[in-house]
Amino acid sequence: MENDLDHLKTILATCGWRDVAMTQAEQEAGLNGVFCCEYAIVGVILAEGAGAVLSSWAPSQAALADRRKGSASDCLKDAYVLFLLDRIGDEQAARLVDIMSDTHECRKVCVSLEKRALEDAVRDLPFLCGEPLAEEMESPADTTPELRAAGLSPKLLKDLAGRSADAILQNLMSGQYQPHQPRKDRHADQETDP
Amino acid sequence: MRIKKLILESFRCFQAQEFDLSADVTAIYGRNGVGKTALFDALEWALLGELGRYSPETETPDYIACVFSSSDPRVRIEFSGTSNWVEVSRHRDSTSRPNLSCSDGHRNHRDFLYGSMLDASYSGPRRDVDMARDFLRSTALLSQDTLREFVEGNPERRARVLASIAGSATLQKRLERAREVYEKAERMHRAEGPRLREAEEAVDQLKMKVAERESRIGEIRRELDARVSFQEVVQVAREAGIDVPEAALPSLPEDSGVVAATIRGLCEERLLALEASRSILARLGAMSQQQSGRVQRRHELAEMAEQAKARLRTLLETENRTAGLITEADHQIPSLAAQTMALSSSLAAMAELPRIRDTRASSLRALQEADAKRKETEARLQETKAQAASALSALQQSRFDLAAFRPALDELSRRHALLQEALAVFTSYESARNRLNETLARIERLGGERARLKTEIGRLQERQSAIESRLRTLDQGLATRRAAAEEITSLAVRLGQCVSGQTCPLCGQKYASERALRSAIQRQLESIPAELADSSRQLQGLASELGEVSASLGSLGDSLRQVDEALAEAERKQQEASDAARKFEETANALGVVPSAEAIREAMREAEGLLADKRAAFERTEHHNEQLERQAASHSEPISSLERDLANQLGEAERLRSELGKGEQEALGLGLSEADLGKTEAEALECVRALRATLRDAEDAKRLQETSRANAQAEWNGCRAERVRLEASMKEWEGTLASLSTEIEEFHSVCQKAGLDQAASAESIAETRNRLEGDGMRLTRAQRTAEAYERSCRAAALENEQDVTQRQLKAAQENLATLQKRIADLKTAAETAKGWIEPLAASVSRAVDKRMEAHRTEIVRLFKAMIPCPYLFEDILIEREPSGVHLGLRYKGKESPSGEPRFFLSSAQANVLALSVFLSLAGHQKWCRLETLMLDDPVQHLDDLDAVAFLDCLRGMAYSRCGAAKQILVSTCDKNLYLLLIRKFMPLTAAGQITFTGISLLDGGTRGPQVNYDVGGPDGISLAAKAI
Repeated sequence: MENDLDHLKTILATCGWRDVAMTQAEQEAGLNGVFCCEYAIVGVILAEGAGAVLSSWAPSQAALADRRKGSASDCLKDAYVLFLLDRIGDEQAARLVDIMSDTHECRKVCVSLEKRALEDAVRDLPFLCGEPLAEEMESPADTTPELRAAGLSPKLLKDLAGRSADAILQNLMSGQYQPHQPRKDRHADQETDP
Repeated sequence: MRIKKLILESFRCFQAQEFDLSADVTAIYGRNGVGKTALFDALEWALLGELGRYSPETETPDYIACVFSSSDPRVRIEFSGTSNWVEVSRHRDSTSRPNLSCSDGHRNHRDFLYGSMLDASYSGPRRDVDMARDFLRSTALLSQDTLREFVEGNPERRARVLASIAGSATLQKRLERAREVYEKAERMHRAEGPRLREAEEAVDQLKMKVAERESRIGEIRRELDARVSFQEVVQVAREAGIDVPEAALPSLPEDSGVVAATIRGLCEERLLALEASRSILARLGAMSQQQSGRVQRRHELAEMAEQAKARLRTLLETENRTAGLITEADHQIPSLAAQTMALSSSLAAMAELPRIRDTRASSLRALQEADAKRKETEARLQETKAQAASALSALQQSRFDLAAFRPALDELSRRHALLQEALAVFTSYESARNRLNETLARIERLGGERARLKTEIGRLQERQSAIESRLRTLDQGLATRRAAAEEITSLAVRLGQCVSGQTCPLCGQKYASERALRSAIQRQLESIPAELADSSRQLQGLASELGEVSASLGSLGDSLRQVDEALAEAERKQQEASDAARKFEETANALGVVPSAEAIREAMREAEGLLADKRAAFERTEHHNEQLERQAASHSEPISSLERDLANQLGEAERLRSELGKGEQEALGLGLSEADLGKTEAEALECVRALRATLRDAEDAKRLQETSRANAQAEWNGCRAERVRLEASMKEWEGTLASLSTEIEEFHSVCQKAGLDQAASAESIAETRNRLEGDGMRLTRAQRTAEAYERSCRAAALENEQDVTQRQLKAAQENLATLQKRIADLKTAAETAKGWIEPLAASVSRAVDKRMEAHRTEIVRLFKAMIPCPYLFEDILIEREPSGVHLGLRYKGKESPSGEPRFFLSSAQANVLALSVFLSLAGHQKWCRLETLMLDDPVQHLDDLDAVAFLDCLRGMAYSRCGAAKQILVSTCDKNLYLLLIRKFMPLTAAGQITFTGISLLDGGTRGPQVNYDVGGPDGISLAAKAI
C-alpha cells in the first residue's frame, strides 16, 4: 500500500497536485493521503475491497469538510474523496451506488484497479488533468476518390448532398448521371469545384 | 485562434448587440427563448455560411432577420490570432448566399474555411465546402438539436447524428438521399404495374371489339339479298294503307333509317290489330249458330221459376205453424216430469222415516255420556297444572339469583387481572419517570446551548455586516483613488506640455526646470500605486476576514442545526415518556389505587378475598337451583297423561257429533223436515196415500203432451224437405239463366267490336274475313321491305363505329408502348440508385468508424469520468447495422450484451455519450485553427451528479496544463448549473490561471434580449470579488 501511495503521489505530482499534511481527523477517518491543486482537494483511500468504502466514507468527507471550513483559500475549492480499490465484488457494487450518488458534503469517486496499472486507472478521474492524448495523426478520411472509382460522378455527389430525391430521380431518368470515368489527371480532386 | 468579440445586427432576436467573448470560459445563462441559441446560430452562420439545423431547401429569410428591425442581418466575429475578423451579411428579404468579407481577403466561405479556419495539413476533400463545414461542426459546435436527436432518436436518427458529430454529415446525407431515390424509384415502378395491366387489358378489349363488329357487319351484308331504296319502302307502305306524308320524309339520308323503323313499327301494330280482328270473326262464326236456341231456353226457365216461388210461400206458412205447436209442448213436458219425480222422492223418504228416527235417538244418548267424562278429566288436569306452576316460579327465582352472581364474579376477576398487569408494568413506569426527568434536564441544557449559539450567530452576523460595510467603503475609496490617479495622470501630461518655470497653478510651487517638474510629477505618480496597493491589501485582509466569519457562521449554523435536531429528538422522547407515565396513571386511577407497588399488592389481596366469598355463594345457589329443577320435572309426567286422556275424550265426543250430523243430513237429503220426524205412524200412512194419487194425475198429463208434439214434428219435417228441394232447383235455374244471358250479351258485344249488327249473319261474317286477309298481305310486304332497309342502314352505322374503334385501338397501343418504356426506365433507375448505396454506405462507415475507433479510448475515458459508478461496466458498444447505429454498454464480467444494445443506454447515458464523443473529437485534433468549443445547452437530461462531472471534464479542457487548452463557450437554461459553473471556475480565476465571463440574457421584449455581464466582461465584476 505504501508503494501504491508513493506511486500515486508521483502520478498526481505530474498533473500539478501536491501532497499536504493530514489532520488528526483525516488520519482517524482512514484517509491514506490528501492532495490539493488550484481548484480542488482530494482525500485518497487505498483498499482491497469495498468494505473500506462502507466504513470510512462518512468520517472522511466530514474531515475534508472541516479542512475546507478551516481555510479561506480551500473553502472555494472542490472536494473529492477518492477510493482506489483492487477490485469490487458484484454484491458490493450495488451497495456503493448510494454512496457514490451522494453529494451532500463532497463528491465520492470510486476507481477499481482490476489488475490495471495505477496510471491507467486514475485517467478515469473527471477532476484530473492527465497526460495529453496523442492528437489525431490522420485527418478525416477523403472518400471522394473511392466513390468516383465506384462510378459516382461529381454532379451526382453534389446533387445527393443538396437536391431533393424527386429532382435526382428525374435527372437520373433523363440520363444526366452517366457513370464517372476517372481521369488520369493529377488534380482530379478539383473536379468538385462548383 | 480564439473568438474575442461577436457583433450582431438585425440577427434573429437581436437588433444590435455586441458580446465580449474573449474569456477562456464564457457561460451564458438565460431562460428559454431569450436568445441563447440565436447567439450560437450567429456564430455558425458567420463561420460556416449556413445553419446546420435548417437545410438550404427549407431556409427562409424569417429565420435570420430580426422582425423588429428593418436593416439587413449582419454578424461580425473578431478573433485573436493571425486572422482578425470575419463579417457576414445578407439582404433581409433574400435567401441567397450570404456576403462574406474578412481580414484575410477571402470573399466566400469556401475560401474562408480552407484559407483561415483549416490548417494546411488538413487532408480532407479539398475545396468541398460541405465536408469542411461538417468537420468544423464536429470540432467546434455541439448544437441542442444534435444532442436531442442523438438522445431521443431511433437507430437510424442516431446514425445520422453520429455521422454528423464525427464530421461526415454530408456523406451520411448522400447515403440517405441515395436510399430515398432508390425507394422512390422502386415505389414508382411498383405503382406503374397496375397501370400497365390496365393498358394491356384496354388494348385487348378494343381488339376483341373490332373483331366482333367486323363479324356482325359481315352477317348483315350476307342477309341482305339486294339493296332496297327508301322510295320503295315509302311506296309499299302507302299501298298497305299507311299514311306517310311528304313533310315526314327525311331531308338527310342518315335519318331515313329512323323513318323506316317507324314504318316497320306501324306495320307491326296494324298486323297485330288485324290478327285480333281475324280471331274475333272466327269466334263470331261459331257463336251465331247457337244464338236462337239460347233465347228460347231462357224464356222457359223464367216461367218455371215463378211457379216454384208460389209453392215455397205455402210451405213456409205450414212450417211456422207446426213449429209453434212443438215449442209449446217442449215448454209443458219438463215441468210435468219434475213434478212426478218430486212426488216419487217424497214417497221414498216417507218409507225411510222410522229408521232415521231410531238412529238419531241412540246417538244423542252416547254424546251426553262422553261430555260428562270429559268435564271430570278437565278438572283433574287444572289441579295438577296449578301444582307445577308453583314449582316453576320457585325455579325461576333461583335462576335469577344465580344470574345476579355472575357479573359480580366477572368484575372481581377482571379487577384481579388488571391489578396483576399493573404490578407487571410498574417497573417500566418507574423507568419512564426517570427517563422523563433526565430528558427534561437535557432539554433545559440544550435550550441553553441553543440560546448561546443564537447569540453567537447574531454577533457574527453583526460583524459580517460591519465588514461588508467596510468593504463597500473601501471599494468606493478605491474607485475614488483610481479616478484621482487618472485625473492626476491627465494633469501631469497637460502640465508637462506647458512647463515654463513659473508658479504651478495647481500646487502653487515653483519648479526650476522642466526636469524638476517632471521629477515631482513622477514622485506623485509613484505614490498613487502604493496607496492603491495599500487599499488592495486592506481589501484582501477584509475579504479574508469575511471568509473566516462566513466559515464560522456556516460552522455555527451546522452546530445550531445539530442542537435543534437533538432538541427535537429530546422533545420526542419526553413526549413518549410522558405518554407512557400518563397511561399507567390513568390505569391506576381507573382501578382506584395509588400508583405504588405496595398499594397495588394490597388491592390484589383484597380482591382475591372478595373473589373467594363470591365463588362460595355462587356454588350454593347453583345447588339449590338443581333441586328445584328436579322438582319441576316430576310434575310434567302426570300432566302429560291427563292431557292425553282429555284429547281422547274430545275425539270420541267429536265422532259422536259427526254421526248425529250425518243422520240429520240424510233426513234433509230425503226431504224430511223436523215436523216429519215428529209425526206419528198413522199420520205418516195418510200422507203416503195422498202422495200416490197426485203422482198418477201428473203422469197422465205428461203423456198427452208428448203425443201432440210428435205429430207436429212429423208435419214440420215434411214441409221442410220439400222447401229445401225446391230452393235447390231454383238456384240451379237462376245459374243457367245468368249463363245464357252472359252468352247472349257477349255475342252482341263481339258483333259490335267487329262492326256488325247484333243480329249478324254467317255470310256477312265470311265476307269481312276475306277483306281482312288482303290487308294483312299488304302490310306484311311493307314490314319486310322496311326491315331490309333498316338492316342496310345498321350495317353502314357499324362501319362508322368500326373506324372510331380502330383509332382508339391505335392510341391505346401507343399508350401501352409508352408505359412499358417508362417501367423499364424506372427499373433501370432503381437498379442504378441501388448501385450507389453500397459505395456510399462503405464511405460513411469508413469515415465515421475510423474516426470513432481512433478516439475510442478517450471516449470511454470521458464517459466513465462523467457517470457516477464507472466500475460497473467495462466498455461502450457502438454497432453499425444497415438499420442504423445501436448503442449499449458492456457490463463488467459480461462477454456479450443480451438483447438489443440500445435498451441499455438511458437518456442521460446517451447524453453523456454524445458529449464524450464531441469532447474527444473536438479536443484532440490539429487541423482546425479555431480553438473554441461551442456547446449550446449541453446538459439536457443529466442529473446534478452527472452535470458536476461534466463540468469537471469541461474545466479539464479549459485548464489543460498538459495538453492544449480550449476556449469554452457554453450556454444553459438552468440557473443552478450556471451558478455551479461560476463556482467551479472561481478558484482558478482567483489564482489568475483562467479568465471567466458569465453572461445573463433577460427577455427585453421588442428591444431584444437584455445582456448582463454577471462576471467578467467589459463592465462586469471580477470573479474574485464576486466570490467574496
